[in-house]
Amino acid sequence: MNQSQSQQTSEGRHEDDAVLADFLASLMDYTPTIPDELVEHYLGKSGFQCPDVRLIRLVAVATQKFIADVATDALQHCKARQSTIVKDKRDKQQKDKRLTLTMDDLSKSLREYGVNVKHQDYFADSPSAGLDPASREE
Amino acid sequence: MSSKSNLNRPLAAKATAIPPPSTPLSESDYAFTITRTAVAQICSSIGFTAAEAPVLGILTDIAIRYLRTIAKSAADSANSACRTQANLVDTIAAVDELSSVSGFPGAWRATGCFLNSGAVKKLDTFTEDSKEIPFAKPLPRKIFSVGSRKGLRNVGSSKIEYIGGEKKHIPTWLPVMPVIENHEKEIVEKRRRELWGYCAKTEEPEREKKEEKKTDSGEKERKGLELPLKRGKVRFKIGGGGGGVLGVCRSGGIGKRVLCENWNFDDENSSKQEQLDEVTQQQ
Repeated sequence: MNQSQSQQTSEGRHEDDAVLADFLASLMDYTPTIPDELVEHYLGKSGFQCPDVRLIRLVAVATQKFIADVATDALQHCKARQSTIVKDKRDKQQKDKRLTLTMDDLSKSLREYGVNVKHQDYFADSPSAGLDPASREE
Repeated sequence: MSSKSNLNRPLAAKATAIPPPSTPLSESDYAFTITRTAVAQICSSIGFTAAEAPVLGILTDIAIRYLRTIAKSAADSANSACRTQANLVDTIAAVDELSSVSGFPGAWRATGCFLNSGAVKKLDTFTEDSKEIPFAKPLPRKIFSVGSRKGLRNVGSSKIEYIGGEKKHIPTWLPVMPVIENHEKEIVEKRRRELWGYCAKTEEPEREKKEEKKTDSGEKERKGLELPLKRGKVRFKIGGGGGGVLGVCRSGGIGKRVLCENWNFDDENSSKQEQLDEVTQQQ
């Protein structure tokens, strides 16, 4: 019984290794959107040294996937926001139905990944608000 | 009047903080701009038609931070294993660590092997499913290919590292040796003069020597027509029993070794003589 279990586990490992080897081999043909030179630059800056192109592409693909996931979530938020607009307004906005990446959508999608992004606080006040009363009188 | 001057202060500060548009961008700005383009390409591939500029900047910043965090994590795990170069296991461990926030299949295994990680399998499916979008323009690699600096790559503004050529065995984390110009001979000559004054060798006798060498070599060349300077290869067998040309023969049964030479140059000499005759005929 133990022997059969060990055989199964060894077979599973072999399969996993084969999958990983295939994936690494496929990375040689795959061109990520983030160029290799750029990834190399940032990796070198962080102390990561490896001459293997496959590892560099692995990092590039991981980053691309993360950004794509975040952007997909933001797109869903954008579509959901557009669909909830009141019918009267919708008719007007149908002409301008563009999917724009906005701060609200991005902050909502990034919150799921543990990144808190907020609009920068903007205070509008009169230019003489912080000055002394004496200088104001002048 | 004073209120006016007070009002002008923050504007002046702002003006000094923002660099004028004519100044060249630094390397980090250049890299940021390229990343921004790549992120914009990813967003457009997903379905966005437009993006607000500051939002795109934030997403670019997050992408850079993500990349650098992976790199730092992998480099740390490599260093903790007494290695300078990160390998596949370090990289996968770093990817696992970062994707554990959102979760992946098989993350519950505390002692699972890194090589069958669920995060990597997700990446595999991503590469299979997503459309391949290469970067808009190919980027140039900064490689010096002039003279003695061949095989060097410019990494930073003042940092250079070896990538190939004769010095490719030097690890990349070592600083580059300063490039010494061809003033070495002059310096050596100066030092010799300082040490020995004019008793040291001067250039004239050296020239004479060179001339002498030249004449000698000319004579040798002439001689070479008669006898070859380089002798042909001589094969020999040890203890071959007469078959070898040069070897050690055991004479008698006492164990006394005698060097015996059997030169058989008849064939070789005849072939060389033929070649020489041909050359002289051509001349």
